[in-house]
Amino acid sequence: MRLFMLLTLGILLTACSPQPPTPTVAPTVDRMSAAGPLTIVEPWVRAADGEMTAGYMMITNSSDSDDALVAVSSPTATVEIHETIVANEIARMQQIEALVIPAQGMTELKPGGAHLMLIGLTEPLAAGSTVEITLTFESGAELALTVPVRDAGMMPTMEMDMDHGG
Amino acid sequence: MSEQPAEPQNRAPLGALIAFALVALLAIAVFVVVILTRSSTPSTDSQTAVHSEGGAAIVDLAQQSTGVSDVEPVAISAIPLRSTTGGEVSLTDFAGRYVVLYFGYTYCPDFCPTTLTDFRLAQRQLGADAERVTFIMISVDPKRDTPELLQTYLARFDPTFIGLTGDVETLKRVADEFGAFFLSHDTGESEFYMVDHTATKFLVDPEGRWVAQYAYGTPVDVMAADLKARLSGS
Repeated sequence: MRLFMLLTLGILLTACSPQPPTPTVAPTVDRMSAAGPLTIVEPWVRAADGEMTAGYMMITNSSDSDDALVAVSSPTATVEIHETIVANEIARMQQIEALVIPAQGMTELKPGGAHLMLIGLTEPLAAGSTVEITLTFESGAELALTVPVRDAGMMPTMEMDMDHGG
Repeated sequence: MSEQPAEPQNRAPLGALIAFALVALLAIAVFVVVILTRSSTPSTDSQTAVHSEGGAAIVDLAQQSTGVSDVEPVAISAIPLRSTTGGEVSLTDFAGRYVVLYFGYTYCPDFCPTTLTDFRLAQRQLGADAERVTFIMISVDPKRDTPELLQTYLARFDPTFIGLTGDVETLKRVADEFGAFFLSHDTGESEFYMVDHTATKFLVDPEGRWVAQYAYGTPVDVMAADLKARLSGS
């Protein structure tokens, strides 16, 4: 019985652990960072030349209570949490005061959805550089990340029938 | 050589049951959210033309589920816009090529880079046919988006992408041709205001007619395949 439970747990954990792709940036960036029940996976910021850009990541919460991302700061820019909403084929941005990370669940900040908005960049963000970002959660948890800056890359960003906030 | 007593076969481990229940609940929740939030697409097979909100006559309803919609061809007007290629350019100046265009702005940190990445991917998928398609971003934020800024912004995605802009009245005329919409939230308080804008990508044919559009969420390979089909004359 115990052996069966351990095997099940082992299989579940193996299936759930993210398989990081081959790193393309310097090893000093945070690919995964944890504070208690909260884990940040694959954070990245979009390379940009102007004063605004977006940041993305996956946040998981292994506790039994909901948590929420309530504040983000960075020496590089003012950071707000926003969501791209497309309704009736019109795209708009909505600021999110508290981004819920559900208990035993996860929230993904990804292109076309929820994202960090970095406002007021004073110089271009080059791919390969890094941005220091601190995440503050409702539970009081704080996570300081060294986030890699990447070009959008060649991955498709939209798929029909996936939840794109329509 | 186990010393554990034999377990009855029909008593599943409690932990596995809880895990299964959580996964099932999550799956049901995701399913409900997807059903509630997806925009309704007609399930009819009829070919009756209907009018979209913008006034275009969409020809084939069955096509809509892919994101691609043909429209009754409408000749586009020659409205001069400031271009990143220098001077003024109108959408009628691209005779002989297909034009895929969308309305956006450079201070849009998520949606626009996402769309331009899709343009770049589609362009790659077109291969040699890419020479016959021009990708255009029309900025609906002339206050901040000078042609120079547009040029720098677009160069990050592809050097052949063209940016067009103009004063608000001119942009409204162009947007109206496609039934497109934009609304600036500039109150004068901050330079970092947002602009709502139509997400649809519009297709103009080599004869300068608006002939189709790609809804938000149209997969890149669907858009590229549609372009290839039109280029090969099918």
